[in-house]
Amino acid sequence: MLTVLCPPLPPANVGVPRRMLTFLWRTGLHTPSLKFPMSQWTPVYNKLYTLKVDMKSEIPSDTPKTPESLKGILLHPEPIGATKSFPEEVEMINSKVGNEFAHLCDDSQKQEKEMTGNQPEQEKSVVVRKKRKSQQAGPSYMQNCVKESQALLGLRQHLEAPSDEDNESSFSDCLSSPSSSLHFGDSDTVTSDEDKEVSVRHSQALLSARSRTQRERSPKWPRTETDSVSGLLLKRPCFHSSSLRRLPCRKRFVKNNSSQRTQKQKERILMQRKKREVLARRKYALLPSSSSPSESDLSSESSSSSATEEDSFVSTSENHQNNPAVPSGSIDEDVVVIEASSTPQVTANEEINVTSTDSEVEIVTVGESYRSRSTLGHSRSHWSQGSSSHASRPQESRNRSRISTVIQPLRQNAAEVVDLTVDEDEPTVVPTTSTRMESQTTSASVNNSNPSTSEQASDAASAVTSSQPSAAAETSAPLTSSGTTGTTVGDDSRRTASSAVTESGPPAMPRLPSCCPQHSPCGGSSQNHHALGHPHTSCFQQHGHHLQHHHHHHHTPHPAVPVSPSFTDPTCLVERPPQVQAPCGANSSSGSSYHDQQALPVDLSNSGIRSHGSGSFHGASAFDPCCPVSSSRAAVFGHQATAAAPSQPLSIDGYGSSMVAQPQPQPPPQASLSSCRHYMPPPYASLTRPLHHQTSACPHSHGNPPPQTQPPPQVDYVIPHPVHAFHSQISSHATSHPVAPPPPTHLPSAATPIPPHLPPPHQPISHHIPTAAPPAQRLHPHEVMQRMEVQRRRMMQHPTRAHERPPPHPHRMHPNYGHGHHIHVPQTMSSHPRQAPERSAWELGIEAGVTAATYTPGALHPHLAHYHAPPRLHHLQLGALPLMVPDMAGYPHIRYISSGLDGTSFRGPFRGNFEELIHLEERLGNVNRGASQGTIERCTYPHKYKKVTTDWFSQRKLHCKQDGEEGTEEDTEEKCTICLSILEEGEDVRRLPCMHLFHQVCVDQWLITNKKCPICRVDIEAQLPSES
Amino acid sequence: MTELQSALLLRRQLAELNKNPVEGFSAGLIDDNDLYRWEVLIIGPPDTLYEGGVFKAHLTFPKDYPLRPPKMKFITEIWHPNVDKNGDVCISILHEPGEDKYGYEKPEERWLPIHTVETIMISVISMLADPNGDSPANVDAAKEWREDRNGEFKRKVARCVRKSQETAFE
Repeated sequence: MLTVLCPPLPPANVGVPRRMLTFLWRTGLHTPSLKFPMSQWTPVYNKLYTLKVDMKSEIPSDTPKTPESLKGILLHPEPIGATKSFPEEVEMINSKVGNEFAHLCDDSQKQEKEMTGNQPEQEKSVVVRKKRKSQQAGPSYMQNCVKESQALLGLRQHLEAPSDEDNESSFSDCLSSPSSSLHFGDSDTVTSDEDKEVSVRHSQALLSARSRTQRERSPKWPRTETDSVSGLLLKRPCFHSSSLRRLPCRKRFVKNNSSQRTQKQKERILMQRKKREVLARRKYALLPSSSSPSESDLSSESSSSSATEEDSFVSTSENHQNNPAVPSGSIDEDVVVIEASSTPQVTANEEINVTSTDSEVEIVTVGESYRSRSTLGHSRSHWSQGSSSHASRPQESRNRSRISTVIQPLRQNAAEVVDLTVDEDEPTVVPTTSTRMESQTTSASVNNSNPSTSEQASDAASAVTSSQPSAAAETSAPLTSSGTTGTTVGDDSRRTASSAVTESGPPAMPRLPSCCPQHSPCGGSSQNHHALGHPHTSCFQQHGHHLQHHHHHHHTPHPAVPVSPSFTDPTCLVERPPQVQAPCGANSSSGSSYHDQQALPVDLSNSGIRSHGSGSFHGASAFDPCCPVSSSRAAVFGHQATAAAPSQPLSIDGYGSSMVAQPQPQPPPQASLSSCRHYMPPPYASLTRPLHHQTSACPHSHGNPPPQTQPPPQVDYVIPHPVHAFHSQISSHATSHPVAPPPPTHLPSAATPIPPHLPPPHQPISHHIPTAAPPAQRLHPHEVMQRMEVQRRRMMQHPTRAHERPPPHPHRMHPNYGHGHHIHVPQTMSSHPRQAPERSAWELGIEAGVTAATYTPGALHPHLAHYHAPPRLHHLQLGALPLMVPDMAGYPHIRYISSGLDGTSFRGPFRGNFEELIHLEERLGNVNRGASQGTIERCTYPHKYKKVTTDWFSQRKLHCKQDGEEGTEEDTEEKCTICLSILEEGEDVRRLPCMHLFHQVCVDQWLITNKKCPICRVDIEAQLPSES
Repeated sequence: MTELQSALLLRRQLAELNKNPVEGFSAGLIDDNDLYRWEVLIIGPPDTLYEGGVFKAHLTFPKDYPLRPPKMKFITEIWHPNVDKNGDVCISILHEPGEDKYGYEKPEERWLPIHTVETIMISVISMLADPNGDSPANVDAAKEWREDRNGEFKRKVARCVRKSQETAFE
């Protein structure tokens, strides 16, 4: 086959290959190449092929080669033989444009790939090779080629250089194209893309989700290559998908040009797929399942199934399409460059992707598409978790809609994606939809506006990276910083998006109305609110996270930047706590489902308390589903910002100069770090870090020397937070709002429309503080109790999810209980609202936490503090933490998210999970070893033995008697097969579901150790249903 | 109670076996005062390599016998894949219920409280007739049984049979 394909070109043609290379290069890099007429391609193709052949032949072919005939042939083609065969076949090929030829081409391509990859791969573990091959040459391919032969390398590198991944595609394209016009681009990718495109178009949400997943995948694989072989194997799929994606993009463009090809391409694709699969199966024993279309599920992703790839392609391609602004070429070619380079380059493009795999789950990804890719790995993991969690969640009786907001940091390093997965009982749905709408619109708008926005974003990103240095670099702290950066970026993008949205208007609308009826008053139009709210939120977040960044990006839209420079740092600190919210804000901006945030705003609006501290908490309690709306967010931000910022300012004011002084010095680095950490809680950042940050932050915010004391608080994460949070927030709010500069900053940033939001929260806050506090106290005990029960119930209901939620619980639980309950009670809101407030409070508390004790939280809220603190402590003690810990360790981000997002939902589940886990253990134990006495009693029929109880027994007995054989009576006698003694009248016997009868004493001993019938081994529980 | 129950059960079985001997083996107590230690003579199943052999084995019952399996140990040297070189019999029904420390056996094949000396002996006789090469206790024997069943394995078994005949009646 291969030989036939190879065009007989005289060695003299060597020059030609270069052309090919150039062509390939073009194709790989630039879509335009795809447009080249087939005629052009064919010659090139031939030449290329010859080149390859020549090259290989030239190569000392001595290199050890796999005995495989095909490979061997390919690797060591005999020039003579090849030349002989070539003429005929070449002609054939040239003449043929049919599918068959295409097949050949495919085969040849594959073989070539194999050839190139074989030698190097052989060196590597076989497994890796298999995957690579199955997946087609990957980035590593280049390397392999190089190793094979330097001569080839020169040529190949040229070819490959354009795009590592594209190597295959480019080659394949070139090769295939000549053979059949039908196969213009990569048949597989193209067809799949087209198909998928259609489907994708149908549901953008799905696409976005997929694309997201893809993105996530793509970013990692480049890294993976460096990783160990195993890593490669695992990640390979991603790579594959990524390569496919890229190609598809190009192809799409091409396709757009000619829709005719679709069917043929499809056919061809199918053929290729089949072949691929066959080859893969043979060589690599790939699982057929992999080929099966996999859902967006991560699990499916692992397999290098074409279907998944295609899907991913589609989504990506669509995304790209969506982003006209983005240079197609960059996308396609970027494969190499982009991947190789850290995503930052791409950062320019801001994308807000809202993916909803499950109806329940919505993933909002805000950030640059590229960025997202880079972060994908992280986000991905998160996502997968989220998806799994989602899957499990459906089980929940509640109408919970999960909103998982993933904020992907611009940088790969930042990789920490902040996933906010909020399980909200009800509200989520609306937000999600709205978010989707918004996100889409925003994304579109963003894309459209990319030139400007993207630039801004890029600038912002760069600024963040560069400018943040103070904060970011320190933050880098990394994890948080990364997370923060990511969030900030996301925020930026969101802001831009929001700005775009505001322009578009509609997107925001959905949520606002539904979510934030109350908010409406605050903001003018819902859209405006979004925009405003976003800016605000973004500003705050940015401030908190990266003041610099925010200023750059968001500030443009939002005067928020205005926040006094001096304050900026402090504000940042303050804001950072908000940052936690920030993610929410980002989400909110995107319409993402940060319930917490939403809840916060809602609460504020609802409670009217708006006082940041109390208001936020109250708002949390309110936890309206609607809250998510930007307006609510704005409020939330106000709260958070106020709470956070205010807290600092407040601290300054209330607590005196000491606070102020501290903030100034520390402000930028520590504050940013601390704040970032808390809120941003980059998933990866370990708890300890957050603690540290918080602690550091706390000092700042509090401005108290106490920070040093903070260490203890660190130990008890929750505890410190709760107390401090309340206090700090409250106090800060009370004091800060009126006086606090931060709020002002918000207001200005918000601009006129915004101001309404901001101001109200602030003012209200001040008011609320006093007012709200009391109600909170009243409600507190009751609510707490109720919450506890609810949580437990939830937990019980959702044992599976326990791990996911556990992390959140600790945080949420504590804060929520303390805050949420108190505050919430009045509103009778769902637990959700509380969560957000709790978080903020919690975080604030963390910051303030250490000092909190020293504080008397604002005069207004002392009692609150008291109440709150204890509950949190209790929660922690309850064991939520212990459960959390293990899970958390695995999924720091999740924990963070959970904590940040839904305090209440998580709490409940948490506890419930914990309890359920215990139960599970018990059950498992029983299952494995035996049955508990209760189970035995439940599943069996204990009774006093009566000789002729059973019908059949009696009948049999009668029958025997009828026969007149006395001996039969003995036969009729029933024995306990365990003790071999005859069952006597009146003995305590137990009949198992299988109808076997034993002495209770005898069988119980056995059943305790093994719950199966001693005679027939039927599980006593297995037959319950039948009997029942 | 448990001990009494086990003793009662063993006594009952002994009485039953004495009363109604089962073909293929004979059972008795090593020490008439110890119901928990039995001695059994297993007659090599006909039409097997072990035909004609008389193999002595000891059964040691736990105090909670009905709930846990006895241990069986061949006193007579026997060459069999499922009997290790110490004479310990390795058959699934004599394995404690629950975990499978070897990973080969299904829980269903494990000890059940309804097993008696008779059922155990039947299982062992069956084992002699049809070794289980999947979970060999005597790897060498198992290998020979698989690879050279009528050669070395047969020779060794024959030697054991002869030996058992010599020692059984001493």
